[in-house]
Amino acid sequence: MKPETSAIELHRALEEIWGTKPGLTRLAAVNHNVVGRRFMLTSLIFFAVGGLLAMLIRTQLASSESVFMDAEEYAQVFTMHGSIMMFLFAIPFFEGLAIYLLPKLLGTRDLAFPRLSAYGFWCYLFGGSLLLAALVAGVAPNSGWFMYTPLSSNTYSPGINSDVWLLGVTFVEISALSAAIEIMVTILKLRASGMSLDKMPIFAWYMLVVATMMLIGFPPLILGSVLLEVERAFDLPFFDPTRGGDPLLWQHLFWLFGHPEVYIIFLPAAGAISTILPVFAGAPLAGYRIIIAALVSMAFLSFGLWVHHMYTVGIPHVALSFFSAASALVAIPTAIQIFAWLATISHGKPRFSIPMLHIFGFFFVFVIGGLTGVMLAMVPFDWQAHDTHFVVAHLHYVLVGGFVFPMLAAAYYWLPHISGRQPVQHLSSAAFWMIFVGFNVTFFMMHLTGLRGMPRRVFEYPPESGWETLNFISSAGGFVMTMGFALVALDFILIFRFGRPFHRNPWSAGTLEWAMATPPPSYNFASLPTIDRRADMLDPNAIGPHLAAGNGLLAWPRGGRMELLAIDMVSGAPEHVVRLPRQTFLPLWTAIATGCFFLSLLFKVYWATPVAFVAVIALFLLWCGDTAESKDVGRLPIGNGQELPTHIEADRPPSWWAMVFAITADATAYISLLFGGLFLWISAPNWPPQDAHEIGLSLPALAAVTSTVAAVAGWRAAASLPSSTGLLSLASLTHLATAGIMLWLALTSVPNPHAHAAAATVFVVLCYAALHSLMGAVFAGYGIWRIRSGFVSHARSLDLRIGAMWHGYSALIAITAAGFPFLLSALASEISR
Amino acid sequence: MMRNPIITIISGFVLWSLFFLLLYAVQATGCHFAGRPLVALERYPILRVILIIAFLLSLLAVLIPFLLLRRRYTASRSDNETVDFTREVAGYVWIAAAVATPFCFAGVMWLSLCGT
Repeated sequence: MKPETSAIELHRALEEIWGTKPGLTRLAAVNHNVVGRRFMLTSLIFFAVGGLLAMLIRTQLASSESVFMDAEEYAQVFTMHGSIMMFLFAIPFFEGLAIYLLPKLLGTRDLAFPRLSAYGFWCYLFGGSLLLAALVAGVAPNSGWFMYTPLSSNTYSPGINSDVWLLGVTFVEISALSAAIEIMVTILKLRASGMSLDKMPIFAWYMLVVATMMLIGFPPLILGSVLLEVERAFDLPFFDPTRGGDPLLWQHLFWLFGHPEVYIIFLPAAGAISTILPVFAGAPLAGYRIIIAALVSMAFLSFGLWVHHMYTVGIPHVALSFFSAASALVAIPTAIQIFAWLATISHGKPRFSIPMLHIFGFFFVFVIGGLTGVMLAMVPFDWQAHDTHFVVAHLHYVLVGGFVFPMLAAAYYWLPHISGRQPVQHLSSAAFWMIFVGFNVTFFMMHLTGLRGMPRRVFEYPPESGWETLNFISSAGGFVMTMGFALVALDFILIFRFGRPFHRNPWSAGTLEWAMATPPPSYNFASLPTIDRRADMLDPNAIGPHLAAGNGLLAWPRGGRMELLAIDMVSGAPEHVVRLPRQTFLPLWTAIATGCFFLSLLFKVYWATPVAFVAVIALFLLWCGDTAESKDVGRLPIGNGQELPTHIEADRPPSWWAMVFAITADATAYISLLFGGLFLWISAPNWPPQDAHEIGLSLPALAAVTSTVAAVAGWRAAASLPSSTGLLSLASLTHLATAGIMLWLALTSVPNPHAHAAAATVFVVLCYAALHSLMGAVFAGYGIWRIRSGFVSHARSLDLRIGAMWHGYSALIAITAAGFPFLLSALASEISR
Repeated sequence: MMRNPIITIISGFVLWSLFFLLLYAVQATGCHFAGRPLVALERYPILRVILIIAFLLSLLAVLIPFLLLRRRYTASRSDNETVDFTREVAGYVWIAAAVATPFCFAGVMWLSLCGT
């Protein structure tokens, strides 16, 4: 401990530990500054590709009966445009922004699981590249960005186009789920000392809500993609109505993700506005608490309106009323935020810098998009406008207004932080006006073509339709908008190259990210702050030098370890010291192995799939090599006379919470699967199946018993140290037995899963349980290895406690899976009566 | 006041979500059991009764805890800012859930239950 260390010595010592080394070791980077920037840059490259595809679409539609593209090329282009913008640009860009910003706003040095965010980035890069490679090869997805069945099924899409989407997007979504867990745990546990819930920066509240929505929203999409890929690859008919499946199951699973997705994209942008706007208004954010209430309300309501994309599929009136009402209602919390922002402006003396210009662009465009959204929420109007260009206009007003303009504001606002240089602003205004005018010219016209009946996704239209002039104007506007974006790109390059250097906090903001040097050092803060007021009302100019001089907490490097402070999630009281693992190539290798897993499925090299899966698990186990402590550490001094235990010896450290959230996501997928089976029973034609289930009671009952034994043994093991090895061996064996029984049932007792969706659903449920029990055996084996290696003691029982959660959860999965065939069989036989 | 403020804040809408799923599932299952001839005739009084009961239960489930929370809030003010914050935010969210419940579900009283 060297409290007298000078600021420069402290900087050098911390940079040595936290910094990314040059050369090839950059590929081992896990630091959130590096990973966040990589996410943002990569997403901008994808944005450029998506934008070019949009230009191709507008060129095609500029005139009637255009021969610029044929139907197949056009289908690939519009599918890839939508998929890239939604999955490869919008979500990853705000993930990158959150990864870069959150630790700084929260007053900490990094995210909770830096290697996980690095792994997420590689999965995103490889998955996105897979989609682009397919585009170049002419086999890009061509069934629209929401991949409706039966168009995307084998019958109508026999090539690998749909497989590329299903596997590529699922590969990319690994990064979304990992980011969700990362963000939630970081916000809840790694804030600055004293930063209680009521003092959190508003952006953190937004991201906490968004990450929770991602955790619940993405699993149904992943499940749907897996089921559709299984149908395409192995002919299990979940979506085939001739064999008891239903295309509507895909629509439910997709939109259960797809509608919250709109808010998942909008809310981070709104969080950026809530952070930026008060700075330029010169007044604190009005209605901080009611905005948080509005956010929570929006999050729930957004999950209650997925069917408003399905009004025309034949849903009973009363059910439509639930979704129509929720769709209209969600406008209220949105409006609360808009009025809060207007109130903030009215309380202060606004400065009209470039970020504010983009915020005004947001207000204008997003409010129009919101109003047409309320129109479309009304069932009778939607029936008229469904699948027309009116919907295309609405969604672009919402997404460009609700995401692109705020993110441009955010980019101009935080670019000085990333680059260390301030905008010169010669091109910025011109770029804004070109985008704003070009956007409105492009998309306002689509309201009109839509109301005149022009359907979306047609590659040509007849000259007598009366749509040509409007389409031509729309296309001209599109090119103006593209030139605007090109100017923005040039502007950013000029800022990096010729921007004016500045000292600190160029916008006079009150948030912690400005209390550090810019561009930021890898460790953010030389010592960690203590917060005594709301974290957007601070004085970074005073706090920055204080922390840089090492006067905060955890100011001195200790044994070359990367250390953070974890707090009580409610009060913000310091709780324990988190010791992070160092830079490593493992996230890259693991993502490569994960890529091999997906490629083996895509190219139907199925013998390689289990090999790649085992490699992924083995590589993940290697991650645990440098997270352990070989002896009890006890309490460590953190500065200011305080001492705390390390996270390994804490009751509920970040990794404990990560497991809770991972199980929540997994449970959402599993519940969606079970409900999918029940939905088919209720809704699908050709039920009941000809072959009734013939599963006897004994084996499912035995599986329920063995899984319960595994759970109890796993729980007892955590409490029975040091003699836990026997219990863990028992847990491992009973997990293996459960997995064996489930697989045996799936392969021998379930009627032909190719013949009917009922059997296919039971087959997948049993396999799902088997996989979870196998993972339980891995957890138990891992626990035994940790005990024998001396990494576990009474104080250091974290590994076993995390494992115990999985043992209990996998038992629940196995028990419900054992009962599911009987439930479905009973319900199906009820129909036959 | 519940121990965890985050649970306090979200619980109103958790209830709303559960009743949303319940009502949607009961409606779909009821129409399934009613079968096609009954769908055509719109004769399913039992299903409507069940849905109305579920709707009334949802109203009670959201309103009673909200009123209790509100009474406790007005009875005891706290000097702790975090507690004050939680009560205020939870109050807003509960109001929103209390409004959303009849607004979204009241259609079970008069709309066609199975007809498309």
